[in-house]
Amino acid sequence: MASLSLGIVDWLVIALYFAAIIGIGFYLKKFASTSEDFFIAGRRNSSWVAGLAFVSANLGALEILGWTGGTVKYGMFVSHFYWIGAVPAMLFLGLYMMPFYYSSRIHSIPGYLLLRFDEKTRVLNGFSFAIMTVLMSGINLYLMAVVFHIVLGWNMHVSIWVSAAAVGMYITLGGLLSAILTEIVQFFLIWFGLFLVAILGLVEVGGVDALLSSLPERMSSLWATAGDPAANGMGVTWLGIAMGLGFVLSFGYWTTDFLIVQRAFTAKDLQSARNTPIIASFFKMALPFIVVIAGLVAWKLNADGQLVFLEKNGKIWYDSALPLLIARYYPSGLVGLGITALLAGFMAGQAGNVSALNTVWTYDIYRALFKKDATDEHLVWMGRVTTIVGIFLSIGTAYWAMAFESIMDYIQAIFSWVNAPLFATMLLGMFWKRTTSAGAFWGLVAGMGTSFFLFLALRFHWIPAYVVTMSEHPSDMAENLWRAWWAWLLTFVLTLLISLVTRPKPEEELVGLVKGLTAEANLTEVVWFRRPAFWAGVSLLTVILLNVYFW
Amino acid sequence: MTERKEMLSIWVWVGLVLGVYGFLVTGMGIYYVFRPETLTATHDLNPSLWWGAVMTVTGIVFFLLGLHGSAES
Repeated sequence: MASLSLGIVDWLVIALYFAAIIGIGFYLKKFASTSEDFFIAGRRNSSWVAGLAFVSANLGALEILGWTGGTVKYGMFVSHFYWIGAVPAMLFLGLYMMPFYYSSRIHSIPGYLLLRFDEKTRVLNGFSFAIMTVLMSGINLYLMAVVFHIVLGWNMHVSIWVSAAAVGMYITLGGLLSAILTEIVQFFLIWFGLFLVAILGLVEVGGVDALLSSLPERMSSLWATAGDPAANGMGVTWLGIAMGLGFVLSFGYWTTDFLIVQRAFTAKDLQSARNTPIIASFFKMALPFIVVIAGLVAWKLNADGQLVFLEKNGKIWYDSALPLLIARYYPSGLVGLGITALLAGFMAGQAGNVSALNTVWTYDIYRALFKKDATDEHLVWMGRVTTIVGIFLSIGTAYWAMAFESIMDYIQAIFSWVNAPLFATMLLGMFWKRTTSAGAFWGLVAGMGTSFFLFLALRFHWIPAYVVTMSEHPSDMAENLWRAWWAWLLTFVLTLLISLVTRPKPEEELVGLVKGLTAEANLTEVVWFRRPAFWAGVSLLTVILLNVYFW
Repeated sequence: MTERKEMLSIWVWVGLVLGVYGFLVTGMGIYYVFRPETLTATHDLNPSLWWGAVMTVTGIVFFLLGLHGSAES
């Protein structure tokens, strides 16, 4: 029961995409011969290239489909995930954290933990990141196959194997260079392939004002209904949005998730690295103009009886909103472009996972534990082997998810087991020189353990929900926000307390890694319109104006 | 190290992909001028034609800027 059908031109568009990315892989092979090239893309990217790759690494197709569907359910509130839930954290990363990351010339986040703390903290984070990445990547693979199966009637096994093989091929050939290049191509394909849906949707419903005025207040407001959780579709208050989303979840993800931060490490100098997330923030805040507009148009068409969402497992499948709009507005030719945009989004996400995994495995696990004296050539070889093994592990996870759908809940929760505690460790590590290695390690272990325990405790009702979430019947989203908050707080407090009673590293070992022991970048030579702080100010102002306008 | 300088700028690839796709989509738009399709909700606008044209132009601009940039570095 496919809802979209493809013509010859559409197939040609899709085939050209596969030819292009594999061609790019072969082209880049000769430029990816050293470990600096393969793992860190030669550290020669401009802040534009790194910035677009930064935002694209986060811009998966599932995210676009999911938040378009999310808008149908929650309305404008979804914009919070793109604005307050992303921009402040991205600016903080660029202005305050990047100097410590970039100046230490590390390849990965666990690499920073080694320099700042010790080997065991690094290996703990390296392992948890590697496991999280493989599992998430497998889930994405499976969900992609489901989407294409329902929407286009494609065979799931073919979707899984063909896309995994293409990604495996171009990353094995060109490493992070390939990943970044295809991410940038994907960025443009997503805008050219999907923005037209929002434009044509607005044309059909009569423009932005007509659309907004036809929606109930709970759908069309951003903050006006945030005082009362019962008045908005998401069931959260402004405090939950500002603290849970805007602080813990957002900072935990944007400032410590290696998958995206890795893109900034490829910038050619510190100033470009600092500008990377700041440039990316502008592109991030533009995305609701695809996602939220398409979702609101779909909601209105559905309310008017002109669009019926598909069903999945007997329930309304809101994520079908975007594919249905593509079918509604795109004739043959453009359909191929829209599908290619989604495919590109899936595969770039996959490539991001694999290229981050091969770096962390090769540097932070393999070289740290098994082969300290590895040559440069050997590391590149290991990176290529890890890519292939990683792809097979993802495929295995995808089949695992296919066999037992319920494991997906567990895997998706891993995110808050790893990232929220790590943000507390990083914050203390970078901004308080007294933070000790023992404090960081045990704080992290306790935080990860707490998050995992709370996940099980809420799931199996070992403890009443209101103890954790202050609500008798929290939504999944509220549970997630609160779990992340407690894990963050516990890590923060424990790391702080243990640090006070254990011996810190001598200050000379922390130069370049901690605030106060690092020479501040001297930017007086740089013209004002090139300074990171200027553009961060413009970005912050823009996002505030957007929030006020759509209040 | 001389190899490095020969590496085509990323914008050349972006330009190529957008240009080729823009060409195909515009081609379909021209086809729909003569053989209009009536299945989509906004078919009277023939979005393929103008969106394809925008893509083609953007592609050409990126391609030329990219070539220029590659030559400079």
